Amino acid sequence: MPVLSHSAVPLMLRPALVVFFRQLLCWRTMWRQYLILRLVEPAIFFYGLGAGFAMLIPQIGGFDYKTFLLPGSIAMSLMFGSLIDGSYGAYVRIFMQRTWPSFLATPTRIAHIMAGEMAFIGMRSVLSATMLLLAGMMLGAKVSVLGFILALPVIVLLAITLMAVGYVATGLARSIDDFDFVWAFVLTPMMVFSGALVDLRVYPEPIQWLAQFLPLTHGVAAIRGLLLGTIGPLGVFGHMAALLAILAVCATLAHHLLKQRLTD
Amino acid sequence: MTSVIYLRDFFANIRPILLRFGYEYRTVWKAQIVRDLIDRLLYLFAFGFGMGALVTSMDGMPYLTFLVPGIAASTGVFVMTMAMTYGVWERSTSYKLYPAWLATPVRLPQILMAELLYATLRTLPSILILFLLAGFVLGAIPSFWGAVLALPVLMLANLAFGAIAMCFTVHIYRPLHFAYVNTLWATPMFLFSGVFFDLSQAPAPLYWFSQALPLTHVISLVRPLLTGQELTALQVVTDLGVLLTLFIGGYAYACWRFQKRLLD
Amino acid sequence: MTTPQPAIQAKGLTKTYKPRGGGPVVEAVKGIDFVVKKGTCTGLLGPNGAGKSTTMKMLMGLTQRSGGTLDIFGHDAAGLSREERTRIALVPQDDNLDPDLTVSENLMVYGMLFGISRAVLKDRVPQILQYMQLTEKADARVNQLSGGMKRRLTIGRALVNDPDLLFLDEPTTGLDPQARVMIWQRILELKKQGKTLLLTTHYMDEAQRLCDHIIMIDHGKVLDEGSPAQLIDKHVKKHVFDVTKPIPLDLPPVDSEDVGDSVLFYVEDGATFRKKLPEDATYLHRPANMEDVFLRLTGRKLRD
Repeated sequence: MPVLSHSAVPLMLRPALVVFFRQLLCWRTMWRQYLILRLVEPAIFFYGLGAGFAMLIPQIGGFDYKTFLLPGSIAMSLMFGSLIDGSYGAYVRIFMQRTWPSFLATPTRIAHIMAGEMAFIGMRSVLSATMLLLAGMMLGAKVSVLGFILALPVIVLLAITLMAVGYVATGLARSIDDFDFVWAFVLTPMMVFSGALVDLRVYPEPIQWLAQFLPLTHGVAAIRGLLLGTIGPLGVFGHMAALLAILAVCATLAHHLLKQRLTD
Repeated sequence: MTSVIYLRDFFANIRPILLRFGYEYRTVWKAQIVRDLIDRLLYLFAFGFGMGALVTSMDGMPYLTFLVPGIAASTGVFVMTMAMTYGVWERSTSYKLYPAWLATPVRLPQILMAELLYATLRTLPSILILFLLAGFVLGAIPSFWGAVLALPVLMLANLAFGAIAMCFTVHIYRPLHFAYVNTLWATPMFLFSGVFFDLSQAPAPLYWFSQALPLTHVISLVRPLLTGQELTALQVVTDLGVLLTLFIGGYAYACWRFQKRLLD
Repeated sequence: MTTPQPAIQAKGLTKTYKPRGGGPVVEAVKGIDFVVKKGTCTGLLGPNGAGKSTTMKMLMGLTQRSGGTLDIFGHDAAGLSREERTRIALVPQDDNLDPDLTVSENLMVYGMLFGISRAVLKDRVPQILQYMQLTEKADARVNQLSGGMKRRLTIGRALVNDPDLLFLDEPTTGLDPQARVMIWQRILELKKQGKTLLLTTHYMDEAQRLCDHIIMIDHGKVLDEGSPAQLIDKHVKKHVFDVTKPIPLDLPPVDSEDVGDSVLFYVEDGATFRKKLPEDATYLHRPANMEDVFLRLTGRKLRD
């Protein structure tokens, strides 16, 4: 590929770019399934809960329930897409299809592969978030499009951070069945306690505190704040800093674990 | 006379496969119960307390009390769907156990019946724990004997959910596609069957859609049983009839299609 | 005296199927006839895609035949009774052991599937484990076993019902020489016990060593059959000279085959032919074997 030999791409980053293209090539055959699964599921949650609770809860924090729910649904859809790709998907690529080991027989390092796959997920998240935004607005949520554009960096950062969380699980998993525990102890708790579906303030104080350690909580807070126009720049940067911290910890840990698994 | 021999052989052949599942269960039961139950408990907690703080009463009862029967009934939807899609595929195609078993006197209908019976029995501990927790700790099950009566109803319901999931499995050739069953069947059913809100207040299209979902018929039996609401004989006969028909019809269809698929 | 009833009899056996996702109908087996006599070891040989596996599957009732007849113990293979099925066992090509169970649980469950009582199995399972040298692994999980151990367990599992007729589908593929020798020993012992064996393999030395009778099939048809010695006599001569090119011009006109860098000469009398070869010729002299027969009958073109 001529793109890869271009001198503008630093030598260090070229293998990551190759991985990015590899993911893109795979996606050519997968995108239909991806769009159905990752858009229909949040849309069903959005409509199923939105229609039901809108009758019962007139307002949350001054917004109708559908409007309140849309940013949460977008964040949830990112979570499912990224975390599943970082855990289940990466496990298949590393231990079952053995794609990673075949890359590692070239000058490509583990960090390159992680970076390339994360870059791909970041790009994909922009696409799916945009489509969900349009679907939600058609179903009656009143959110700011300018706010959404401002939220794009948060969306990409959230997707990449959750991918790193998934990589940690992959580094720890001994069999593919272990990911049931990711579902039970990471995905569902995040969905429930991040404030995506209900206002975090309805929970007891200790749970609100613990929720601050979940990446999705910060993603939901920043995306919702920007889409509803209830957050200032300082608040957004605060949540992004928290996400960056979680990303740094998880990526380092995952790199360490995967290196051990792949080189012993 | 031949039918007696047939029945005798039928159950004689189911026994060893149940024993096989028993051996498996002996080593995984703790993790299995956690897996089957944890997300139900999280939903119960998040919505019971989260939404419960905003929705004080639903259909004339505390929201938590309203929620427990729906959560209990939905346990089987997810456990049975997973077991009869991905689980059956794993044993039949990935591990190639069905061909190994079919090289003995055991026939396919017996294997599928053993699959259904085991998975259904497996949901029993989870539902019991959920009942004990909701009844004695949270005080959200007003009728003790109603809960006892609800158990056989839930077992029949789970056989039906399992048989339906099998009907999807016989048409799926790539394991990746099992995710559709979860996203396009189990999840919408969970959200639109009146688990979270009273269907009688829903708009007419939503109400009629919900009547087409089997889970609605389980909840319409189990909720009155657990909460001590009135239940008419007509309601009981209709709902049990629907569940029984789905179980037998789904099982027969799955046997027929699976046989064709394995023999080609 | 009537001839004793054969264990297996196939007449005009065919199998056609439509590939999933469209395409023309595939004729995997195009009308084959064969007989497997009781108490013998019969080899079913052929390249990949010849129709061996399909024939095996039809014998096991794992796929329906499209035409012809196929009898096992004088009864239609597609409609065997429960009792007849308990007399047959299969060692499949890939190990389909139960990964959720231990080694002895695998045998226990499989025995019960044949309707054998737990009391009987409590004695029989340890015997089989010992016979297949797996006693130390009795409580190990299947995925902790090596490839050779898995294969031994799969063969042991097929013995749990003490079958009269045993199908072995490539029993030693992928094993090290030690494991192969051990499995050959067991197979010969089973033959001595009077069991009927039907074997497929890609190893011609294995077929030659184990089989009393060999059926060669390719493109869904029987090419030839007979004992290993008969087939070697018929299709190649006793000796093979693999002579590296350039070939001396004054060699006698014997049966030969050009295989690229060298030419194979099949001759009855090895000593005479050797004398005809010039001093400086590079060649390899060996007795002819089933591999020569196989390649002669099915050609040297790659199949998949």
